[in-house]
Amino acid sequence: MLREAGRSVQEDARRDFFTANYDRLAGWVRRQVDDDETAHDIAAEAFTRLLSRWSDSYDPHAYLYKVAVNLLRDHWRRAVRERRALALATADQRDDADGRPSHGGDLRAMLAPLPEHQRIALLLHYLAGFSVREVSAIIGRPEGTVKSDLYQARARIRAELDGSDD
Amino acid sequence: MAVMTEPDDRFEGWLERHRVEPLGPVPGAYDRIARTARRRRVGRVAVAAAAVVVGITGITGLAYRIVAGPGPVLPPGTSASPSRAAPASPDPASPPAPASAGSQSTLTTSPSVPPTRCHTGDLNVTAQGARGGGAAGSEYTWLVFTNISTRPCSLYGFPGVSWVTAASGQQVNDPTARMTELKPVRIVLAPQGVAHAEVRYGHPGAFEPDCHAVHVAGFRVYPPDETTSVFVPLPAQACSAKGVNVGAVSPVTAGLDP
Repeated sequence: MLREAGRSVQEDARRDFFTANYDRLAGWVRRQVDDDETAHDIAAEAFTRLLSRWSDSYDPHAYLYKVAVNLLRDHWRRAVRERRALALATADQRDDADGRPSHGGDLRAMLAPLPEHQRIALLLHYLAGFSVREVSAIIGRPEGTVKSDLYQARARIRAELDGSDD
Repeated sequence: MAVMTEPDDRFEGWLERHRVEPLGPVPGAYDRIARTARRRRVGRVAVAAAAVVVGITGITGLAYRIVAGPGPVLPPGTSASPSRAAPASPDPASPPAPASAGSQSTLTTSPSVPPTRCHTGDLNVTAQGARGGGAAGSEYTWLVFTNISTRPCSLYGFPGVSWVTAASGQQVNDPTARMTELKPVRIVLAPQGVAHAEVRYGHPGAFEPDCHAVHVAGFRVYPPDETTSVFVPLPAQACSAKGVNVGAVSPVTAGLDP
């Protein structure tokens, strides 16, 4: 009887956490993928992994983004491979960023040339709002390294902005 | 002085244009996710149980191991290397098949794999400041494992690490979490060879008022897959509130280079 009650409290905690965090996570992922469906797929998979090991996660919010980062990395690598294969077949047909500026095509185009760790640090810190320390814990790199990643990412974006629209 | 436009303004403006817009779930998403999560949880437990059964009954060569030392049974609150129990990566898309659990048992018990696992008694474990230092707001500590036996032995995975109030005192807070994004590598320690694992904690002060900092005497450390712990002195302050600032530990890494 007590156990039943305990379980449902846990269940409520999980559902509340989902409700409080899904929209932002999915929206954050959406900035980095081509369509809503992919964003939902990645967000849902991240939540599934989190909930399947809920009791071990000491910081569910950080864990959620850690999983999402791993899934995004996989997604990017797959996309790069596919694009490469496509490029072989059809000369040089680049993903056009203009189509959906509201969904961050321009953001992705700007971030694409950055090394992956700089891109991830920037996305976690500036878009998802994690502190440098939290980013360091999520991606498992020292804080000093994260700071320097952020600095370099900023410098490159700034250079890009200065060079493009004047 | 005359320049009023900070270079960062453009960056900030660019960020502003790309702020995250919430994207709500499709109806029924939570229930589907919770169901899948439950299935995976059950699957994992079943696989772990299957691995233990295979380990006990499967291979006759194992008899010597049962006599010689503790089997791969996990003590509560510690972590074994990911190949044995829960996977180290945040998660496999599907639970590992029982067949692979079986083959892993075969691998670990094969008589032709010379260096056996380093047991707690083979190791001297000490704490020292991490080479290359920590970062603002954090403490980085290295647990250094030295093979004090006369034979080579191997280490693979994450040590189990918790703060304790005294050498045989009470555990404080939950065990340190694993840096699951770092993949363990199997390493072989020659006699007197060394390896290390990095432990990171935030300064307890940064976690107040939730932290409830208390004095601790050091770490209780389980070498990977071992069921016997050692006490490693390192007087410090640690958060006693469950789950607050539990820190993170890396897999055991060869040598003493950062």
